[in-house]
Amino acid sequence: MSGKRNVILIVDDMEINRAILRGVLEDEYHILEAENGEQAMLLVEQYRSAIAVMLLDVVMPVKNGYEVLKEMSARGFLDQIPVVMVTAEGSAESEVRAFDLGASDIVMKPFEPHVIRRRVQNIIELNLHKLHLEDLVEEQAQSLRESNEIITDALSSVIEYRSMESGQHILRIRMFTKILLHDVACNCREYGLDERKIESITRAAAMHDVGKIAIPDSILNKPGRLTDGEFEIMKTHTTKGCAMLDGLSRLGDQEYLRYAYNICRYHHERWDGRGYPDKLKGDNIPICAQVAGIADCYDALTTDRVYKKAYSHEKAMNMILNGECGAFSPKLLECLKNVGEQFRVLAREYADGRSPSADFQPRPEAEFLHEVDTAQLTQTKYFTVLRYLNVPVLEVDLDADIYHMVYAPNDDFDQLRSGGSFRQCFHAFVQSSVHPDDRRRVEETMENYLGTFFEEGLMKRSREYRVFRRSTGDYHWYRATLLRIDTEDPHRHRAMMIWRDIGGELSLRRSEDGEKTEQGVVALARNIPGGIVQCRNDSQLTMVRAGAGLTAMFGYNEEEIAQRFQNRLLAMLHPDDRAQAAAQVREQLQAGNAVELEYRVRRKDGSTVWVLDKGQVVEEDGDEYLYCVLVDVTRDKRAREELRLSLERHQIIMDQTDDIIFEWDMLTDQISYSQNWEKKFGYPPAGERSAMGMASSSHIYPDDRPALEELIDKLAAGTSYAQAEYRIAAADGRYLWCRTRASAQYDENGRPIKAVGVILDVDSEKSRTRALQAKAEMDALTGLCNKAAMHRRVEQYLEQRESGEIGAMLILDVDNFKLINDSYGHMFGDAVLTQISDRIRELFRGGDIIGRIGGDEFMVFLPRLPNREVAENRAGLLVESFRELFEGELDKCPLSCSIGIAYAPEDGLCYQDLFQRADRALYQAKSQGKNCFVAYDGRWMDQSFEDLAPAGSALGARIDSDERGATKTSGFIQYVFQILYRAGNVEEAVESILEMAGRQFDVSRAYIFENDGENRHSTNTFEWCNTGIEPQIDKLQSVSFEDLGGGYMENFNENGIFYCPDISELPQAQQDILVPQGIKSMLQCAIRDNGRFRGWVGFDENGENRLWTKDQIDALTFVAELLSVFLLKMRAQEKTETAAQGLLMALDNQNSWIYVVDPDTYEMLFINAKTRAIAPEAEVGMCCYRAFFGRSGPCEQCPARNIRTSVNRTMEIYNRILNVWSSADAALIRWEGREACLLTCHDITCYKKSRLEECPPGGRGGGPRPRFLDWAFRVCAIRANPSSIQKGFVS
Amino acid sequence: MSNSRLIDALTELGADTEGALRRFMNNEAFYERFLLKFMDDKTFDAIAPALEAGDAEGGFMAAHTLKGIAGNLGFTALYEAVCVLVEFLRAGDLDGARASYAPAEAAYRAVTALLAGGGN
Repeated sequence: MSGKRNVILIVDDMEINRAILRGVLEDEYHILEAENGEQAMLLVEQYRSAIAVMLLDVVMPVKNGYEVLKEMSARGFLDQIPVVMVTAEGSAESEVRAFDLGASDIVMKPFEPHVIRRRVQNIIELNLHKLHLEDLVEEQAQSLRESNEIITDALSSVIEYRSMESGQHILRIRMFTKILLHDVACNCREYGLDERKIESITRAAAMHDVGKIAIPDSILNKPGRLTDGEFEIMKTHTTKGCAMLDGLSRLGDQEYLRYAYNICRYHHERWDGRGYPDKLKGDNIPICAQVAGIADCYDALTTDRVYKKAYSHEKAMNMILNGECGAFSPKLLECLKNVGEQFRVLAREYADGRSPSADFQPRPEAEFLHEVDTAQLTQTKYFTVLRYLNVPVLEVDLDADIYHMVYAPNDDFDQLRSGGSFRQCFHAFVQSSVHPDDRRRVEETMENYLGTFFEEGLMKRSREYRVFRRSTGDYHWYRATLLRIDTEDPHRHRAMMIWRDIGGELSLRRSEDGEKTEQGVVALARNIPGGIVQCRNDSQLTMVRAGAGLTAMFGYNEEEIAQRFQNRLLAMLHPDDRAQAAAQVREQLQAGNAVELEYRVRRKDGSTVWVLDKGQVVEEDGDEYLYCVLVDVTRDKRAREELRLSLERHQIIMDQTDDIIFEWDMLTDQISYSQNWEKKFGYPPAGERSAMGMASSSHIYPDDRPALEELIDKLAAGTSYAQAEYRIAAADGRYLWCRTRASAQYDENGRPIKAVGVILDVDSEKSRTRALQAKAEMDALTGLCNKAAMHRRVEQYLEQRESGEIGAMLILDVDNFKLINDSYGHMFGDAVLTQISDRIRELFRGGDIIGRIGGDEFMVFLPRLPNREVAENRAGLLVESFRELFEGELDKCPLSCSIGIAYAPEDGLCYQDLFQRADRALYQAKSQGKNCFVAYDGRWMDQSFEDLAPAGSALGARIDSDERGATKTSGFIQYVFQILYRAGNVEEAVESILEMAGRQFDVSRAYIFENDGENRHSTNTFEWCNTGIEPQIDKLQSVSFEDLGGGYMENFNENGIFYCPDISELPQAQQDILVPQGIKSMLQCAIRDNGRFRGWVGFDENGENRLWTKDQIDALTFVAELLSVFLLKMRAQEKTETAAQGLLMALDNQNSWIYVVDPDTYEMLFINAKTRAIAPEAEVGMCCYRAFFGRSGPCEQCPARNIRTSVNRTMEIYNRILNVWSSADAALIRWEGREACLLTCHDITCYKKSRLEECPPGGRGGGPRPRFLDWAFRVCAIRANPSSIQKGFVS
Repeated sequence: MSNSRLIDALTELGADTEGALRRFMNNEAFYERFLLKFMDDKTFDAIAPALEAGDAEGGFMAAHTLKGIAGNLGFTALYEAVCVLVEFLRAGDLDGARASYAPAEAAYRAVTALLAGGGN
């Protein structure tokens, strides 16, 4: 699956074309550029999975667009990357040619940018779609294959069932086939087997006995041997099976069917041509059938059948290998031997009756495959050699007890094919074919011979004896040589036996020459310094002879060597080196007959020497010996070690730094880079390997190449240090700024031969610097240059001005800007300045320098003018266009400007001079009535300048706010305040104020919004609408701030003002609410309570986008503040009253008599409803004793008495006048800001009734004193109220 | 009426500045930059020597390139004149090419003079 493809590669040799295309596309994609075909191909290789499309020009030098297209197609890139040709060629042939070569589309130059963008997008989308689809299709195919497999297996199992064999047979056949095929694929490449074919054949193998369906049961399941006739019928299962498979040709997968057909038909053919049905011979038999045949054979042998019992693995293998069960290709038999072990394991695991799992996958194949691979049998060569040798060759594996007569030129050695175990057959061979005299020697030492051969680690051993030759009828001498194979593993005992006919030669050859030679060698050996050694080529390198130099080298004499080391050279080696030395000997001898080793030896005195051992193999007496020379190389070794460490150090340093270090060998023009290149850029530095190469194709941004070339040239010329900065493309398609620094290295003659340097990533640094620079140069409000930048740039130009070029400096001052600021406010003034600077920008060219050098002063510098007229024309245009600006909006102060012009070189050659003169000219313009431009004229301006010196400069005048102030506004505010202050009804007052303000400022609506307690919703509480404007107040109740997008309060600035000349600049959520009301602009002021935002007062303007003036803002602010004070007070009051009401209701509804009295005077301050009900004449202000008891003074027993000092008391009181008993409670409270006494009397009359009857009501004053609790208060005369007396008990 | 004297002058001369501006994303500064760069462009100068030397191939490459640039920048007159030149050279007809060189040169000079004059 492809990753994100978002890079477009533009290939064109003209910068202008690339720039145009880049401009069109760089918003949505990363862009890579290439200048020529080579660079393009480099980038394609690099970024092939990130490029979405390539835009390719046709006409380019060196490699034109068609050639690039061809190469893309040839290398298969077109499948992933579509190409759009961009060409100015109009002809039909070129179109045809482009499409023929594989282009996806063609665009003609000059082109329409929008068209290009759409076409590119379409192509990219289409391509992505295609790639995606390909993946989908592959998935589908895969699942289809799987279902096919399941079906065929099921089918085959059904067939198996019928022939009384279990379903495991098919499974095993499949697995054997698969394993064997893998081995064949590795080792017999001529069959051209790959993974896919192996899969197919394996599946097809399941069908091999499909034809058995057509065989009658009586034959298929006959327990005994088949008669010839029955056998013939049995044989037809091959052809009948094919016929059935033919009918399945609709299945679709032709390859599979072909394999199935072949296997079915030919799996009983024989290598020697004596099989059935077609008697094919050798490799005419399709390999699939050969392999399936072996698998079938093996399985038949190792499982029970109706006609026989199962054989052991070893027996089956031996039978197959030696031709007792079918005849197979020798190559396949080799492979079979290799995988034999796996067959055995599988046969056991998947034996009938056992089924490891329901799925058909054999377990970890990886293990098996690995083992097979390492076997490394180079079959063809082997067999070639055998053919060449033309001698009998036998392979034996003593561990598995398997032997194989691989090659036999004649049948003299046939006894070795007799089956059973190796020992048995060898015995048979000896008994039948070896000369009687030699038999015992050969036979009895066989065990010994073989045993010692392996134990001692010998590689080769020979013996000679006579063997009967049938063709001549007599015995011939043979040298039988035993050769060890599989030498890496000491536990495997595999070997080969080869018999060479040595004719009449005698095995024993000891001539005088030999003796003499030997003597000479010994003498040599004794006298050579260093060591000379003859050792046997066995596992321990046993020394047979050693020179005296060995003693000198190691410090041990002969006796000591024999005693301590048993003459074993390997034992004298440093323990760590032994294994490696032995392995190296084995390895090197496989390739030739010489060895070269290095190892350490510990001397007698304890020190270690490094030894270089060079030797050669010589054969003597049938055994192999190594003749070696040993040399002490200790010193050399140390030196090399130090060098290695030093290099390693360098490598570490190179790797640890983040920078990319490179080295340029100038003589060979090769550049090598540290690994950091790939780490940083994400790809290896291919195109950057040579200086020449970099010139034409590399990842460098084409525009920056001159900088790099300059660097290269400098270094090549001999400069000792140089640096350059340029952009390099990174892996994701972006360009990164890099700084390269390099130093040169010289040869003895002082010529530069090398350069070493560093590449640093300065991308972020650069962009930061750029940003800061730009910021520092810019005037914040208008985005033009600020004064310092202006100065710098002008000076820069003036320095490199060419003669004949004219430069003009224009200073522009906005006339009467003060007035505008004062009339309309600073915010308005800023808006005006911004518009002015935009206008100026539009009127001048890109090369002109434009800046704002003062509050309302601008400067434009025009470089490279051919004549003055140009500048003056521009100035004229500028003055004119000012008049058009803000036409209609500023009828009170129409906008205009004055311009002063000075020219370089006539009026000055430096910034300061020009400035002074232009300023002077500006002053003149102002004096002439403004709204014009004046060019400096040295003839008369110089003089008058001095005269007017102090007042001569029009610049630097402060733009002060006039102190006139808003007299109108203040009057209005005073009026408003008075209304509110005196208002009886605050709400009415507010309404009339809104109306007044609305009319005063001629707005569409004036209104107030108030927030709820949590500031989550706001409600339009007051609204005044101008004539013809629809009221909105009903729709704006409880508007949620969330609906407004949540940030409504941020619209108000730090002064609480929300200044909105155009609501289309507001967030969408807010516009949605405002637009339906017909609003175009708004001015709002926040209402605050203790600093908290509680709502706002606002004006709406529905007719147009309106710029609100300072006057209006001030007025509105005051109104808002005033209103907020009064409104808030009103609301607070309402709240309090509501609260009080609530409390009152609570008190009134108590079922007790509750009243409040002054603690000193007993005047009542509050009477609750129930009290009023029982004593209607009671009123606030009356004394309680009088109102309730008719007394003239406070009652003695009164809970309220001394309430301040005594504790809260509860008493039971009888009230004669009202005729009620109460349980009275008095408490000291604060009431309306003063101390008071709260009396609560619970009605207990009903509880007291009985008591009352006992207690005679007392008269006034005296009478018997009742008991304390029944104390009755004397009832004083109360105001006669019949109703109360009616209560009954008054006497 | 644009904001650049240069562009206006070109339009007066008959150039398709509108089309060219569209190509430059309506960015006049961008367009002007390349207009000014055209003054330094050496492609045209390569045509005459090639014609003299009888090198139709080389002449074709240069003329073809020039055609592209002229088209992009909207120099209609130059474009058309060069087109004629290109077709002759494509066919290898050196005589025809030489004959049609003059009008191409005239158009080229007109444009470069205007550019150098800065729009006056």
